[in-house]
Amino acid sequence: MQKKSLWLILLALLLAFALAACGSNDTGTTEEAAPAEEAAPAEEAAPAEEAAPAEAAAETSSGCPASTVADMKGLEGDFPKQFELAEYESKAGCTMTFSENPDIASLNEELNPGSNLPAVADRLPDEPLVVQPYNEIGRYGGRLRSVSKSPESGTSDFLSTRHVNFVRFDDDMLTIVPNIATGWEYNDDYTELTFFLRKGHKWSDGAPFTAEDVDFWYNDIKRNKDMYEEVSSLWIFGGEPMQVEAIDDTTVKFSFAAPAPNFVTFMATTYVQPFQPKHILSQFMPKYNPDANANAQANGFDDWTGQFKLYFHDWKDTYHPYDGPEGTALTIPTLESHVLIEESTEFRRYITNPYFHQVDTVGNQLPYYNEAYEIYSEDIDVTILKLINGELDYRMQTLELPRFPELKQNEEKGGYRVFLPPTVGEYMYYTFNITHQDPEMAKIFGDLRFRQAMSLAINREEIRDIVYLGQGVPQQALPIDHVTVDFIKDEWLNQYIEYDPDAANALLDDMGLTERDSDGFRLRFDGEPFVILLQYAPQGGPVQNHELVKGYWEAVGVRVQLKEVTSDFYRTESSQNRHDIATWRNGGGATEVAGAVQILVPPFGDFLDTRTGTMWNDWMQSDGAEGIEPPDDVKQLWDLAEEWKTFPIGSPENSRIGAEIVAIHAKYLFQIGLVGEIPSPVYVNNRVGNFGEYTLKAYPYYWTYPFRPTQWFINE
Amino acid sequence: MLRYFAQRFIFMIITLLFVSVVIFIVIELPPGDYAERYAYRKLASAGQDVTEQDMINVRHEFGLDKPAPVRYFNWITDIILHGDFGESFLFNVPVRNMIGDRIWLTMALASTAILLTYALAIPIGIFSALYRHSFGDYLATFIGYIGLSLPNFMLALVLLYFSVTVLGSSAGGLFSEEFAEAAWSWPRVVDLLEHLWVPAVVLGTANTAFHLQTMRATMLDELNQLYVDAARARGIPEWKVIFKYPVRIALNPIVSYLGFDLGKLVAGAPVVALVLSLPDAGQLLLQALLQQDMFLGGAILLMISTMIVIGVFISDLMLAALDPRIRLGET
Amino acid sequence: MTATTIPKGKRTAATLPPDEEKLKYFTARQWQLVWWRFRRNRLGLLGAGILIIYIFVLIFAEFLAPYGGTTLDSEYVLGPPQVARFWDENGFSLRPFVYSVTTERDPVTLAMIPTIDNSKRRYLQFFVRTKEYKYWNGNLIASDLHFFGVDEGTIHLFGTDSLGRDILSRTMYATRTSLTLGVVGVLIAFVIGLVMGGMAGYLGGQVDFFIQRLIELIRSVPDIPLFMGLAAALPKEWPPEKVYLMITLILGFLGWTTLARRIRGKLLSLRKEDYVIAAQLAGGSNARIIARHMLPAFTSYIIVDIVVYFPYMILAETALSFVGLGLRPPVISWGVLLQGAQNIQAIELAPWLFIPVIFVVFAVLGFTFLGDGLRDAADPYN
Repeated sequence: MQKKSLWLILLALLLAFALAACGSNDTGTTEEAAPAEEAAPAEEAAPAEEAAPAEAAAETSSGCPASTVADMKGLEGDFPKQFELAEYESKAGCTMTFSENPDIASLNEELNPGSNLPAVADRLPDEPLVVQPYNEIGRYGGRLRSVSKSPESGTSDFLSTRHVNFVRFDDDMLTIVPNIATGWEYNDDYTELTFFLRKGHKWSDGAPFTAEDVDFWYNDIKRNKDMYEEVSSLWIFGGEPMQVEAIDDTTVKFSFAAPAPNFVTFMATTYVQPFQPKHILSQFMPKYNPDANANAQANGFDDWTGQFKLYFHDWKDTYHPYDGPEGTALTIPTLESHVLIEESTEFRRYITNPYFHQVDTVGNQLPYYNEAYEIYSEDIDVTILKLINGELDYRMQTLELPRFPELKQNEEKGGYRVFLPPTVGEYMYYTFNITHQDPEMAKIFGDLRFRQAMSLAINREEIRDIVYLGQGVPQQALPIDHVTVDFIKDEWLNQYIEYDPDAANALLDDMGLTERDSDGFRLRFDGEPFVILLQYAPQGGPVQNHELVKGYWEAVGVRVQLKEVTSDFYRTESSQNRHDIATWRNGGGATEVAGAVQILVPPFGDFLDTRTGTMWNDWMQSDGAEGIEPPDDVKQLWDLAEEWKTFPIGSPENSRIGAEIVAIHAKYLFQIGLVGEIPSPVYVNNRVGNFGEYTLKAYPYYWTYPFRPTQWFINE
Repeated sequence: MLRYFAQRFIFMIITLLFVSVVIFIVIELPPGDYAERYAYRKLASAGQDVTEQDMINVRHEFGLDKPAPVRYFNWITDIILHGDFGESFLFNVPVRNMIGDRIWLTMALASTAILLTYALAIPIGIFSALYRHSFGDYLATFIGYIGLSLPNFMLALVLLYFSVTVLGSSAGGLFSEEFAEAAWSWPRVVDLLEHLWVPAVVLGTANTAFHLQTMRATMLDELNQLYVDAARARGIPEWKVIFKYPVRIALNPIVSYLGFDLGKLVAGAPVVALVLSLPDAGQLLLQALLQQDMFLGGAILLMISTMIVIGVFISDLMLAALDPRIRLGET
Repeated sequence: MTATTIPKGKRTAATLPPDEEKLKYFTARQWQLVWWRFRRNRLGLLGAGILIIYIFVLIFAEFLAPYGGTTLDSEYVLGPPQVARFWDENGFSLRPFVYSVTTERDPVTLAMIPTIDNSKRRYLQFFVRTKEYKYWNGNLIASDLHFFGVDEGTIHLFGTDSLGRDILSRTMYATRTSLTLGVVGVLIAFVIGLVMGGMAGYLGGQVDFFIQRLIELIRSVPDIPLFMGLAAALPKEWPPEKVYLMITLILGFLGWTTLARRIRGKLLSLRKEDYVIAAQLAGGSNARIIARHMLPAFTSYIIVDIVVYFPYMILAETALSFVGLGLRPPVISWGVLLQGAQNIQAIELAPWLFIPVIFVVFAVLGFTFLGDGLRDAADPYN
């Protein structure tokens, strides 16, 4: 009988495995779709190589001195911490010879299978950008490891570590320095801007990068009616779309109908890359390929735009090779330091761009590290555990101040550093949906007294002590961060920030919200229960705030229901005007706002931000045919914002108009701020070499981009 | 027996159809539809405003403009006839490409957990019943019930924490970084097992306590039966007295639970998977449901449910084999 | 009527006390017998005792808890438990006291560090009148009487959470929420399970067939996704309590299948037993045969199942809370409290956040011991 029970257990197991087998039969094509397994043998060798002592990049191979930021050897660039090649050679009195990553051949074979890899000097532009490393000449090899929430969450730190644009902010956060471009030039009235590109610059597949690719990005994509019915407001100046013109291979001219003095600043800080690989993407466009539509339809798309959008994106963590139907996967070349080579629903992997345009001061082609590897972890605690365990190399997004103590305490054990740079616009704020679809709700939210009362009901000192670990300053949130400009008045920051529930109650009673239900919560004017559904995404700021604020508001009789949602869902709801209240972190660095003035006008932000007054915007856009008419001074915001951005930040005109705009915002108290000037953690593993001091952790300066991640190296 | 088998089989198929309808309804329940979110992601993220016409187009593209019964019919016939589970809105890939690997891992997880459960519950349950009110019995019961009373996800995090800080394994996931992309090999299996034990223990604990308790209770009932006394009186060795009938009968309810165990583990897995960042089907299911990715969510639900139904079918057969009274009761 | 008790008496006669007792025993009703036997079971009594304490907490939470469930103490955020003591180096005190404690931030790690002031005693006061409350969310009388408090400052015997809320008080309020809703769910599941399982097992045939399919159908749909779908469909303006009650009902309505299946299985084997056939031949009604003759034979199953069901209800709540569908703050339940302890920070910096887990475990153990005791007591062959 014992035998029989054993037999039973065995049978049970068999069943389990048989079921497992069934499961896989149902999805028979899996193997083909999983490049992970096929690519495996090649990678298996990789860790072994990495384990060997990292190859020191040749310090002496070129005649040029190993100048670093720490030890400049008397060499200082016209722009901080970097040189053009000729400039460096003349200043150092040397002729640079170039060296490359010893693994570059195998990396290139993986990236561009079967292609010939030219010598390093031929891969670099004629005038490579010479980057002064922070501390030392780095060593080649290794892998930078990080984590993101999910494939498409916008929380990948690699977005900004691999990023390139024409220009960049230096880590002093003041100076704009060249990157893809060697330089730029404005005409006298800021209506024409010329960028000069690098001769011989190449895409990561070796094809030449020219001004044509910029022209293609703007004139063929951004202004394509099939792609975009209207040109995005980012490119509208003086009511007209800007003009982009390729003068020659290395010169591209931007013309604006109104002065655009802050356009360069915008280029230094935006995620938008104003160039696209025309040699690859044009094949999907009917203009260049008459069969484009037919091909797209054969692949199951409605028309060419569907297929085109598979490969092109402005705001996506990355192009996903697995997105398209079978056989449509492509490696899209970039100018970035690392190129996406492999992706699954669990991780993604980037490898070095063999044609990257930067070298260090002794002529080693950057970047140093071979790979960037990112896994997905939805759960923040698993992320924290990985960080504490030293399993990751770098993380900054989604790390919040409240998680700082546990990270700090384990620094030594885990072999990493965590520090607290200041932030711009980490303020969390609440915005009531003034033009709510439900007129009754719109009536309440639209009443200024209501917003004042809600602000007064909040105990900001307590929030500061409890949520922000005693850091930061209680204040209102304004669309332009007061640290970045000189025209913000204290009275705007400090209005209605005192904790005064009695005054709040009085204001609410004054509005006529006096009827209450049996639990003591106020009813709407029409006698229906008044419930504010507060949907929040953790990405929008510390979630404890919502719990506290719910308590404060309910204490004055306003019922709040909390619901945690994904960022994506949250944004959909608010862009569809289906939300009661929006809450997010304030961006608001002046440079950012200058590039995207829609933050200043209803609905106060693009799709990434929160929205209120959507129907005001509808009214304005339709000349009164749709939506709701905004108050007169709000109507002025559109013109003021357009005017504001025509003056360089810091100029008297800019400050005067800026003050007018912010005064209107302050008057209507669109945003109810909590605590400002908050620091936020940045994590870096000790094995990451050449890691600079962070002066700021800020999306408005595009996260890591100013801190020169291309010269990091992995110190095994 | 053959007739019993045929009967059970036909009803398994009918059950499956019913279940697919229920799943379809559950998926359809949440207000709003995916088209809005999809249109938004695709268009608004590219800097465009979403118009009514866009919505209509997207709805049409995904067949969301047809009445529900038609949608259900199309959905289910595609699955049955072509093995086509539709396309994930969220990831823009055919669903079957996405869930293959994950279902495997989910199954590996569930099987390990079941194995663990039986390996612990059956012997300890027998022991507890035989030595009722002994220290060992109390200890087993106590530990079992603590296991049962701790929420899965809490245990998951604590175990994860200790596996990382004390044992030094990598946090979360099913593989270490160096094996995540590797081909299957012995070290990779070892690596998998190193990561699998935490979720298996977490998922297994609750069920272990349950089965242990059931085993103990039924054993006690059986041990008090007259036939046991009779067997003892005939001088049959004690171990034979116990294993010949009481154990066999006490296994009865456990076997009848196999199918549901499987389902419970697979369904309970999402929460644990979320905590442990496991790349299994459960985590994908949660994501799909939260984002209303109908086809993806539906496909995973359907696969899980199918497993449960087949599991029930097999456990019914086993039960009939084990206890003749049941299959005779049917005829 | 006494058909089942007579053989039992015969079997156990040898161990019975003297004549008078014996007579009492033979004439006792079944539940009296059960009680006599249960009384001798120490663990069973312990379980019952634990549950009585829980019920006491459940009823008098406002009175027993020193603070409200959402009262913040911003002076004592993430503070460790304060220990009540009777003596220290400064001497003995009949009245228990705690030291005066505040928390301050470590300037480097920004973690909260408690500073204990040994020289300052805060004496416990009993039956203090402090903050006013209304019993049962304002549905009953208002009062300001609390079981205990301190003469100055605050007292947090279980420490505070990251918002400075008293864990002891919160645990007490959570006990009320979780137990009451657990009981509702279990009752629903129990009643339906008994009826459906009884019908299926006893009547067999078409009825059994139908109920079996229904059970299979319900159980073939994975529960968590089903809850998610159902919860997503609940109106958004519902307060969390209502949502939770709704989910409890759903849990109850879906949870009866376990019990029903087990009862059916047992009945299937039982109904061919001679005494059942005898009862049928004697013309007993179905309900009567089930209740009088068959139920006692599997009471033990039912008890074990009910006992096992409470943890299931409680744990289902925590799981639902975790995916964001269960109870949400500010409603306080065990699930909500455990969710608050569900992070690395709690394990590393504030293990006292896990104290509510002990309450959950004890509740489960209480049910178990009680259930076991009853089971043994009700076993006719024992």
